[in-house]
Amino acid sequence: MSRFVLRRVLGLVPTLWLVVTLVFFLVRLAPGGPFDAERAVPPEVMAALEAKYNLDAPLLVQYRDFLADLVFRADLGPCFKYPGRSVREIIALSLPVSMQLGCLAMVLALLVGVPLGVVGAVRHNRAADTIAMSVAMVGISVPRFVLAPILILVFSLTLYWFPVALWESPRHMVLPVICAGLPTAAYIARLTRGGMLEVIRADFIRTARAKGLSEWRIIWRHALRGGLLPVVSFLGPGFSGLLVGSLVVETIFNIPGMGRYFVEAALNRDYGLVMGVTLVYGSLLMVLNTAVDLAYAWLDPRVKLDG
Amino acid sequence: MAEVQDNSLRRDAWRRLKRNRAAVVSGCILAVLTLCCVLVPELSRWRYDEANLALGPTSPSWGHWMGTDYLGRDLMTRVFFGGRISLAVGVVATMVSFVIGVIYGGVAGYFGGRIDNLMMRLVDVMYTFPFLILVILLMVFFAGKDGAPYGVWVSVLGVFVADPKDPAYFPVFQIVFVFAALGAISWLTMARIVRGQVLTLREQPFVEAARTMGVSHTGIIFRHLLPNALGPIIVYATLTVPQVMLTEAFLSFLGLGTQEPLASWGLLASGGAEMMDIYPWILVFPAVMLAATLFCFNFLGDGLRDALDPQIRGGQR
Amino acid sequence: MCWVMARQRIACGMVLLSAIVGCRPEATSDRHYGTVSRHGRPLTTIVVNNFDEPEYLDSTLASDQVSSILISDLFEGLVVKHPRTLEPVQGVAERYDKSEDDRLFRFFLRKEARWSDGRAVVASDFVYAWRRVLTPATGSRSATLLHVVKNGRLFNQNKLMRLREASSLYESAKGKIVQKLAAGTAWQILSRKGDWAEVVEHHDLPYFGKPPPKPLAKPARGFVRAAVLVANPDVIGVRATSSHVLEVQLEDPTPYFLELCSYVVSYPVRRDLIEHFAAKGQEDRWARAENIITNGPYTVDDWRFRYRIVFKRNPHHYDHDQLKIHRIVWLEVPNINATLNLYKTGELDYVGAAMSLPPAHMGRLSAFEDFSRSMYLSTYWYAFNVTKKPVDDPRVRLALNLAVDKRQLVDKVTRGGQTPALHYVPDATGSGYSEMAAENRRTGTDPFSAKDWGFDPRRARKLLEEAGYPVVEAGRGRKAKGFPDLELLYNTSEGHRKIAVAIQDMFKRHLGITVALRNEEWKVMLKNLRDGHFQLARFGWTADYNHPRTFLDVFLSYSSQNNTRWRSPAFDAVMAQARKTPGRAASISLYRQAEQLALEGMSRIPLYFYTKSTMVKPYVRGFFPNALNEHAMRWVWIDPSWSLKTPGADNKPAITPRELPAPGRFMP
Repeated sequence: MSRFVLRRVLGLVPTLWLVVTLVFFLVRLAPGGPFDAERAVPPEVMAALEAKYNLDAPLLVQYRDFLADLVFRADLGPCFKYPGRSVREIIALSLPVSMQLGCLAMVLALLVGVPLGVVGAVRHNRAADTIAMSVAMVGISVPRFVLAPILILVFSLTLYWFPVALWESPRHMVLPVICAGLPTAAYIARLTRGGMLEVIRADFIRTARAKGLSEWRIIWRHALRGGLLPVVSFLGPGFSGLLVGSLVVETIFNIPGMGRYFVEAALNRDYGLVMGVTLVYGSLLMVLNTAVDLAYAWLDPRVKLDG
Repeated sequence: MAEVQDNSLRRDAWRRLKRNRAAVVSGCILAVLTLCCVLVPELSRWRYDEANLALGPTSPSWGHWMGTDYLGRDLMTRVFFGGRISLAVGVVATMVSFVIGVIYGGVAGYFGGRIDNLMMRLVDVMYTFPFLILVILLMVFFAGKDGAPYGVWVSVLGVFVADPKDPAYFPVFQIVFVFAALGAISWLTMARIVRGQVLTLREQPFVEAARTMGVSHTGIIFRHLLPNALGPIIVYATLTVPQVMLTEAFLSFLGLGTQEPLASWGLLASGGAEMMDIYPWILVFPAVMLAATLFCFNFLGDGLRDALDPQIRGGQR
Repeated sequence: MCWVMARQRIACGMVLLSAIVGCRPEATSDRHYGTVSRHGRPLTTIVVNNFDEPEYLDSTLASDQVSSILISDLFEGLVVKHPRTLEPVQGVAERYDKSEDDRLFRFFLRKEARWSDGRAVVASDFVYAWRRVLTPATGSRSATLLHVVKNGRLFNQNKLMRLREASSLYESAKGKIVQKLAAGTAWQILSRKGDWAEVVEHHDLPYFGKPPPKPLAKPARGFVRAAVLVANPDVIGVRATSSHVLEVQLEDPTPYFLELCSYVVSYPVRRDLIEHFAAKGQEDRWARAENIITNGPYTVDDWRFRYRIVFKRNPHHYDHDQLKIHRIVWLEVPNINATLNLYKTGELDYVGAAMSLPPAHMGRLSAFEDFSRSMYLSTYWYAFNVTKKPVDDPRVRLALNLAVDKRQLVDKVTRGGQTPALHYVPDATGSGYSEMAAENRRTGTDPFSAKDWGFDPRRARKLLEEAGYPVVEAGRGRKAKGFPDLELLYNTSEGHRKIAVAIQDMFKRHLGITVALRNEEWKVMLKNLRDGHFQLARFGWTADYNHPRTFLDVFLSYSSQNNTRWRSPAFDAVMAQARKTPGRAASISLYRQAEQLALEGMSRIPLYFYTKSTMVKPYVRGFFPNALNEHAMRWVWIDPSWSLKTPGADNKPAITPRELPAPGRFMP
């Protein structure tokens, strides 16, 4: 087991290197440079700007310098768009906010999604199932950019329960968390239901039922463990997607998180920042996926941890 | 022998599907919707891109059943025209993800060990790729009129229409690129789920039995493992359709997906959400269409799932 | 009636609910958008949305609006704009002298002007800042504004240097020596080749009113080793003659120069501070909240990246005690719906100068009393690449211009009360332009009349036919026979998209031309514009200063902003003449003439002149809508008894602007 974890952690290094290299060259291939602006800059000034950020060096030299900085000093360089801020600083400021939003949204998604899914599976093809799955479908089929304005209209501008935007007190967090978490909750509900249906029909559940155990006890003690496998599979990408993919939520509620940099950094050709968010996202994802594999093994003893 | 069993399995599935009322209704609605999307823009008095600035946005009326949008274009024509693109993007990209994901995940899960590790690491790498950059690069480098893909597009289109270089077809070509981008990224989760299922299943006695009977790897994966793993796969595929449609909307919102004057439900809804307190109908109609379609896909997917699941064959429910 | 009662009932319910869950604004009125309650904020605090994170708080580097807004409250230039009239009033300078031809200026600095650490603001602070702006290595994107200073352009382009040491002039690279050269002489660089530079002697150095050196009959010309050339900023026409006297010499007569001295790019910066951080290799860090030293009325108190910046008063500023706003909270909310919601619930006092209201909301918001609108010096246009078929033909370009119904565009699409543009320079432009435009119209001599340049589809079709594309009736519409592919490029935004779709429809309807739309994100589009990969593209221009020249300069054949490839020697000549002509009326009439030439060339379709619409709470006083959309917070105050007064009454600046005395005569 520990050997498995160790191997996985060591395996992250070449993967990250591959990602970094790929992104490094791809962003520089994209047309448009970081210093293009409405007011055209004289070539001399442009040259000065490029020299300042080492962009006039041959590509391979830039690459070497970048890697050296990254490996030996954990330095991702400056942010082009906001001079005086390093990429590291920007990530340090925004990641915790995204994490907070993401974690709260995931907790909400699990609290809502799993029970809905279980109800759907246990009451398969009955009214409760239809209702639960309809609720889940509403979550899936209403885009966040439609859901958020509706929530604001109802809960902020009509009822005055929660603030319309900003990220200050717990009250400010309610609407964004709901908005980010509900669609994920809907996915989880669907996956839980699917997984539970598989398990409920399995022999060991039938045995348990034959032994006369109460239905809820069966679900809770026996079925849930296996039924949640597809959900666990989804948690890795789902969680990191929630963290950075809440772009819409962060935009609408003006939350100073990291999600916005995914689009912005690319649009601004902010090479260092693109690299930074990619690295953070990448390593987060890999760690989560490793964790998911471990959870898989714990939930389903039939899975062998090869390697 | 396997052939015969397969046929009966399929017939059983069809029979079970027909018994599922929600699935049948959903299928019918989808069929009607698709038909509307094909016919309405052709039969309508208005063209989807015909603006009427003097008219501006008007609420639903006898002349315009769903009202008009900000530029005075007939919303009903635009909604059903947008449906063509949304449905196409959703279905095509999901099919792409289905095919790639099932093969990839099946192979990884079945062989396990080093191959699995390698293949899944590759998936991880692709997950971590900032996919927006991929799309921007794709759109900028290859979606131009001087790129090689456009040449291919023109020659293929030439088979169907007289004037394939008409600028009106150019946005369609760009949408094909959105297909490619979405298909390329949405198979990843599918592969993970398939692999997770297969990883569990391959330890089961019936696989062991098949292996000892000398069935080939391909045979085991496609005849034994995948049919048994189909439930979650179909569930996920039905979830991919809305996901793809929403991603397309998100891309359109950023100006990278469907382009004006074409429309997609996502594009229409994202535009409508911006001014929903002033002109609510511009949001309501496309959003309802989108939601209804996703609902139906889902119930149909459920029906398929129940019908295809080999474990309830014999029907002891 | 029914509705009112229902509303009241709902309101009662609300009060009950809000008692449980949170605060509900008490004061709402139908005359204003949302609440007019300030949630208990003190009268000395104002909350404004500044749209986005500033790129720089370094005035020498800033080029974006968001940064400029903050910098103009943090720093102070030689002069300051009057909040209502926009005329220059006293800033760091108390008075000034100038020469008759607007080429020489001398500023007398205020003795009590202080930096936020207590040090006096001196003339050399300005000299350092201006030299820094013009130094190529600084990479200032606003440097072109200071090109009017003597030798500013050459120095900024690295083309004017002095000899580091005594050296020789060669006939050609590695050729024979022509002449021995003394150290310190100035040379203009014509070209560089490896280690060598082709140079010509440059005698035109600033002389600050002393008799100018006689121009050389035949300046020496040849090659020198590049290594002996060194950039020395003393060739630029700005110097400090004492701690509180600053002298400036300009390249050409520049009537708007005084106004330029109120612009961000002309503000002073602290040499010791910048060099302290530069020595550590972290030059950019001097402008962070914990390090910055400012000379304006405010200084940075707290800065949460990409979220909010808080200003407090500069304790050493000479107006410290008069300021009525002690604390400015700048939120950074780029999303318009979030902004309007924050404004509606009373969390914002002012939507902010950097935020534009979207057309869809305009009709509804303009009904409220807290809605404010003014002309804005900016023109929206579509630019042609005149080297591309079919728009290389001026007749085609003119036809496309005539086929656009600009009145309908502003009434039905943009809906912001904009003026349809028949030419390029907004009628509201100052420096005498607006007066001359009004005069021309009154006397019926307006060169840009609606009769000649307005919407006229019939004439457009005739022009198109002359160009070889007859417009025929086809089915339900028209078709321009044989018209090649035409693509319209615009940068991704909802507003631009709507306009593009409307124009596309007009071309189709009136001329039978199907235009393909292409949108690209801003950076990609700029690259394509620069490289000429477009036929027709959305663009526009916002005034850098309040003078027609700022708009017409982009039409010059050698302008780096001229992406259209339109070149007219006649236009260039009139512009050069106008630039050298002293006296308002004479030069403005030349600029009008140049504008007419530009319009006849039709390298750009003018669509409309911008307006700025915004929302500002009724209790905010000292706020004046103006054509530059500049609203410094030092003039603003909060009136607690606003509701007792008639709207707009008692609206005067918090501090009375100090008028500049008439300039003295510049004597060397």
